[in-house]
Amino acid sequence: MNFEKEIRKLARSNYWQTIYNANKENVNLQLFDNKSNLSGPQLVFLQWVQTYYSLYTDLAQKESQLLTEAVIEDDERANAYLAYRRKKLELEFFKYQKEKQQEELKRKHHFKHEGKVSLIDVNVGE
Amino acid sequence: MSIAHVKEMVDEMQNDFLHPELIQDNKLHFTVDGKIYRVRMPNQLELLEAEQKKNAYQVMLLKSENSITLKKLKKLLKESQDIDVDELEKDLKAYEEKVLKVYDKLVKRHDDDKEGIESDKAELGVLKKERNELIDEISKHTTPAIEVQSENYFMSYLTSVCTEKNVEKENEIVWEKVWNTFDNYLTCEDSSVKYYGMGYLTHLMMSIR
Repeated sequence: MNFEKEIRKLARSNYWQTIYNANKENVNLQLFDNKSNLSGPQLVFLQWVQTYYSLYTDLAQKESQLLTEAVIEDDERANAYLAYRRKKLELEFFKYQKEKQQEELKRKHHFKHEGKVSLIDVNVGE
Repeated sequence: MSIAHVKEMVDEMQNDFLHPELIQDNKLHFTVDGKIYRVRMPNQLELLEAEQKKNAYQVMLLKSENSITLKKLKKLLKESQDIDVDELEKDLKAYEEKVLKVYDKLVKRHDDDKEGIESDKAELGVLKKERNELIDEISKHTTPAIEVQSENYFMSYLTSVCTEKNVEKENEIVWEKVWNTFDNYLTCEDSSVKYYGMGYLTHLMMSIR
């Protein structure tokens, strides 16, 4: 049995996606027989349920033309899309950081060369 | 065809496609020679005991003349047999990059480009096979190292504690330990139960440590 394949199949199933969604809405449905001491497959399963939830959300919101129902149902194609999405998010984050740094530099440059500071003596109470 | 028959068929199909028992609880069941066994997740106390056993075993190995640390073993392999384990580990990391390159191609394929999708998947299959072979090779070379030996000891201890067999009793499902003590586990002959027990336990503990 290919454990990961089976776990992913379960995680993207309508049943578990509904349970997960209900728990997000604070319905508090018990997921497993055990309440603590989660096993590795249970943790991996939870990660995949969350991942597939985000993929179905992307699909519903038409986030990318590259994502289709068929992509989600195919493990390798879903992996490829997840790698693409991660790379895209990283690039967006770096772009944002760079823009922020440039704005900071501009602000410092503005104060250094154009800003003038005046000192005024104010006597209070006279 | 009766409703019961349809339900039976649906259940059978579900069993073919979905395995809820994988996540239903923190145990995994398996059969050997028609008998049912299971491995369960160790509790915190058992994990602590296993760590203590592992540390004691590691100290014993360190004192022994015939044992070797991973660092020294790597050096020895390089000098005596020209096997560079560090280089093999670098090759292993390089596979991640190779896989990402194939993903770059695959992500752009449309649903109707079945041939392209299959070709990329075949390429991924080859990469994964080569990667697994490399893992096996590294594992084969590093097995004598103290660190690997003590990790195996740790898993052996937990296997002895967490593997249980199903005992038939009237109107009752009873689970009993396969090996009463760790010594009992160590001295008994290698068996499929040992093999499957450790395999499934390793799987149960994935992403935990």
